[in-house]
Amino acid sequence: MKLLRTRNILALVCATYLLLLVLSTLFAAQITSFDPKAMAPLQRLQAPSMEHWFGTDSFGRDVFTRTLYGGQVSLVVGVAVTLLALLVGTTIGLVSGYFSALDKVLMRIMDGIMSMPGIVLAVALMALFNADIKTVVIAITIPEIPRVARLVRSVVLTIREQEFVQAAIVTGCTVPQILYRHILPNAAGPLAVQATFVCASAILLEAYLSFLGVGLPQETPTWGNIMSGGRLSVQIAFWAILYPGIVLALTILSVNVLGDSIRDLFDPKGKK
Amino acid sequence: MSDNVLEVRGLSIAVGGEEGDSALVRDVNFSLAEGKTVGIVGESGSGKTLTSLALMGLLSPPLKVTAGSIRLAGEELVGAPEQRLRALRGNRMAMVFQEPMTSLNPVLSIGYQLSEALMVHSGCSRKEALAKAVQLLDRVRIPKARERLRSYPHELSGGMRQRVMIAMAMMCDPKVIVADEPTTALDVTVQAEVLMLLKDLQREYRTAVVFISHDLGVIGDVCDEVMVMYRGDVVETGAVAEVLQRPRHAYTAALLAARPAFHRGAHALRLDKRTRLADLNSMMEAT
Repeated sequence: MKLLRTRNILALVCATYLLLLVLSTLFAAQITSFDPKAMAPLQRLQAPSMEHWFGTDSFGRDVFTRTLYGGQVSLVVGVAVTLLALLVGTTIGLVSGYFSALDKVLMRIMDGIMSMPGIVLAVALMALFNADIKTVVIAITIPEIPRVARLVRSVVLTIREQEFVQAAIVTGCTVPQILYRHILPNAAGPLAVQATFVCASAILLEAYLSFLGVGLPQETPTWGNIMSGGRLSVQIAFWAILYPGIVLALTILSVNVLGDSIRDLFDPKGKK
Repeated sequence: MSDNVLEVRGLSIAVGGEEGDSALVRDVNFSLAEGKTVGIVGESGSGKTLTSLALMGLLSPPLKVTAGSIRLAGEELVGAPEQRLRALRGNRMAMVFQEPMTSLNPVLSIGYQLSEALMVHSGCSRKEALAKAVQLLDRVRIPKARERLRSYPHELSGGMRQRVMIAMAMMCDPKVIVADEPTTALDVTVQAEVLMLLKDLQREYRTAVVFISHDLGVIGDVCDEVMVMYRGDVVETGAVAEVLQRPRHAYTAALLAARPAFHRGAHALRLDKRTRLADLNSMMEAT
């Protein structure tokens, strides 16, 4: 039962980091007194100091403040995409795993989505609609759905041949009852792991979109937008791109490490 | 005729294909009165399990019932709509499976799995269903029944799980229980307990049982009548004592003789079996 010590400590550090991140983005207004959008030309491109921890960008905005507010967007996108992708992906996976007639059609659609790089698909979707947070979430969710759907489908294919599914049919359960009550809980472990990976990749994709300038409007603080703005002055003011980059990298790392330790928890062979 | 809860007439099962059907089970006939047990015995692949699946309406394409009728308390099941079958399953007819390790869902609690059938069919509340579950767990002699509701299958032994399965089958007071090799996976002492329990419950609730097994000893113990199947045909049928003591068909005799006997040496048994199986094949071709 005892997991390797170092892994536990690493997971604990990552969980603590994420908790701090969530709290500090939620209470961003209490932590800093700066306005994330207000420009102050006289203060522009100042190096990190006691007043401006992460320095200021080329419009004189405090990078630390913008990073905190940007975290709100990243976390909302991460969580919303994960939930939406789980919801839609699970349903598609359950249906195509259980009904072999629909399986062929649904899985070919999933293959089609998967054959395109997620970022390209997301950029294309963003180009079609208004840039607001709803569109960003939807544009990022669609490329993530097949990962969940395929996972759930593979679990259904192995579980549905088990005797307890027959037993559920014999009990008189309807198909949705069998799918959601009897089969889906068996996928909980792998799904939890997959959810963390979807969350990490959604945060990253959102940053890509903003960085490329197709995400939320430039003045909205998101990690991608901050870095995209900092890119122009990177030779004289590296901090506007470095610090949000570090925060982003640590966030992705932490979510992935947590995913790994969840997988270890569910994997009987990993227990030592 | 109306005394019988289950009437099977001329039941045939086949695999449908483009070149027509190839029959797997041919012309099965039996009837079962309240509180009685009919045994179906035969070797692997003789059609026992197919017959039981057909009774529950669980054959999935390309398997299908090609002829005959199955009547449950007078109601025709062959060709009945899926919705009607679903309403009957778990309610009027229930099933106990062979493998107690895999026939309970590992991620759902015993209480949930027990109460489900009753909630699905009678629409009663979870509380009422759980009360009935405790009562039945007590009845199948599971100690500390109330605490067990929260247990998960992996916390129970094989014999306990099979008793839970029996309790699950009894939840809606079904007319007929189909037990497909219910004791095959259990060791002999547990097997005896489970069989006794099944008989007790049957006497108490007047449930009819279709008992499938390849173990003639078990069949002799629990059944009133027995049907011997070989390669999809019913080769012999009759009262259990009659069939087991004075088999009329050569295959039944061969099955009886094929049981391992303790007083013979292992070597003798092996030789014995080989010659007998060769005889059996030539015998079946002759008929």
